[in-house]
Amino acid sequence: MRRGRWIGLLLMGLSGGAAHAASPDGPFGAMSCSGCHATARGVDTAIPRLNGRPAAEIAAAMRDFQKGERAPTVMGRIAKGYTDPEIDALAAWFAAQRDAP
Amino acid sequence: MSPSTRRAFVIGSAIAAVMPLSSARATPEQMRKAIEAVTRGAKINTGKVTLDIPPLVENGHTVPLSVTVDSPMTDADHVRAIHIFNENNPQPHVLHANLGPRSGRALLSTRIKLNASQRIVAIAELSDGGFWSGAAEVVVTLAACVEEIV
Amino acid sequence: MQVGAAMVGALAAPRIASAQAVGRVVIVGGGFAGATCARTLKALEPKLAVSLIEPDPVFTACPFSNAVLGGLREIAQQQFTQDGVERAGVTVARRRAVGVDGKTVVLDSGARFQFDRLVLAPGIDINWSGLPGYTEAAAEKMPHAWKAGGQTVLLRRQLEAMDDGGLVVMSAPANPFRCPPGPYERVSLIAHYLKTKKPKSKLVLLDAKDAFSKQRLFQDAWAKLYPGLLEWVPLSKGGKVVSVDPADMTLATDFAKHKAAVANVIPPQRAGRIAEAAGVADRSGWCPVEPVSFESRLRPDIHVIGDAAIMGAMPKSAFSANAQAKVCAVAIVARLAGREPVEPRLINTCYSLVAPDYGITIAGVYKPTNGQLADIPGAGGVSPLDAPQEFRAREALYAEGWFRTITAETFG
Repeated sequence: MRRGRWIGLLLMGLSGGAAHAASPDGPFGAMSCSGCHATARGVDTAIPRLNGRPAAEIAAAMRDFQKGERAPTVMGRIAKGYTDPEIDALAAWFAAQRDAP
Repeated sequence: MSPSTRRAFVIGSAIAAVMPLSSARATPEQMRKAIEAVTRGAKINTGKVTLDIPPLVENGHTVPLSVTVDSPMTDADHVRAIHIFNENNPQPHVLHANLGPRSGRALLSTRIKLNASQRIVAIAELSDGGFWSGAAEVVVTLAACVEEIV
Repeated sequence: MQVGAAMVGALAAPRIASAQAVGRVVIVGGGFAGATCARTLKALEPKLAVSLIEPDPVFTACPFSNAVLGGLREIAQQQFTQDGVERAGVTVARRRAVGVDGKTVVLDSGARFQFDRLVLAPGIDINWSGLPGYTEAAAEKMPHAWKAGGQTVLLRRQLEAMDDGGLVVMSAPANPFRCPPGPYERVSLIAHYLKTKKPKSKLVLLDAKDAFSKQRLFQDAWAKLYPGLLEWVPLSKGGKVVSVDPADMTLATDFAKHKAAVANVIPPQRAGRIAEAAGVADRSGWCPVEPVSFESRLRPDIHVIGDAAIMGAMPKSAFSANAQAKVCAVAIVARLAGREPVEPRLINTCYSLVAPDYGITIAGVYKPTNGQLADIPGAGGVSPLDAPQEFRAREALYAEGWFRTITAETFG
């Protein structure tokens, strides 16, 4: 049974090159993020959540972190590990996720 | 675990010869051929040779290794040469050291460069013309959490 | 755009309508790697038969256990069950795996679990022949507390019972070992305890290394917060411990014998022993794996994740274990559906507390390069050396948030 259009297909079109084909389960490095950015509801944490935030917001934040803006603690160092297409893919993916109950 | 600190030295009259570089990587087959070039098809016995190298290294640029050969090192019975071969560096024959009865002990300590996980083989050439070998596998990994990343 | 319903914990995974992954996956070890892998597999592909083998009903988390040693936290805050993993649809067998026979895992009860893919996440075992004098019996007098639980409580009790003015001696091993910054966070938080409660006491750290993770940050903070209280003895100054005597409470280096009121020996380690039984550990005692799906280089169809594996530049940490687990689950689902796994990217961030309100981090982003995980150039690194107290306090706060988040994702 189809569960609806899979966002990954769209992402494959966005990211360049076969080597960067997005995984159906989160593009490059997306899955590591939930170690710090909570996806379960009710977790008491000062680290901002990402699920459901507008893609443009997440992408802008990652690019600012890369430039050393927004006074990050650790995100500047992490953001530098991603290319432009990877950032767009991540941002789109997080925008489509919802926190678990 | 790395072995405890050793003084790196080559005893007595040993001469270490460095083989010319090639750009392609060695393979197990090339290592076998390189060994054969030294032994010229003679039988290689296993034993007598202890190759001591850490099983896991985090810095392939400088890997300590030592080869000890069980030999009385007398005029009548001694080690003539120790050769070291590897499977994965650009050159299969990485080291050749000549020894003799004046060496005292058949012990070679040095550092070699390994760019990937591979098998290392040490061949000892004895004064009676016999060849003995010892081998070890080394995993070359990367050091984790090194600060000098900029 | 329709999105697949959010699953338990981490993933809201929209699924493509394509070849389904079918099969049985068995996971050995219910820590950060194993538990995360098990529930991620179920979230990605509910039809998979996923079993988790874990003998301990209670898992005690190592991260932040140093705060328990420092008297800043209760051990109960570190403890988690596998109930959440069970609710995610994973079959949990509370037994110990003792061997692998073909494509079957054998348990200590004699039960056999067949698998299409096996994931070993056994963590570490202490190498009981790695340090002369340091036997299992010795660990009752000189705890390692490098596997959290009873050992953590034991060491904490010893610190509480120590007279003011006593000498605490710690020893740290050569690489590789679980949690590179761990011994130095422990030194910091024990120093914090001594400074506040037993100020006449001293702390010596004997190290088998000349350099350690976040070294400049730690040493800078130690000079500021704990002057005169602690001493780090590196390898080149005779810091390597060559033997211990628990009857005597002494630790011997090449040059000196140190007598301790409380001794914490962090000894040489190896992959959890099931790895050797399964044939996936090499003579270093650790498990070589390929860097895309973490399949063993020694045995096909067996994956090794977490501290037991040789993961190149990616350190042995809970964050790494959790990240690798998710990548491994995705790769296994791909393989079972007949697809090639996609090359991953992984992140690690290690938080260390030098004091309750003073946190520091080291981070890395990794990708497969030349057969192992390597740092992506330009990314990662440590907290700035000269940061204001507000920055340190923020990192300490985020450390707390990280712990709650990762444990909720893994065990919630």
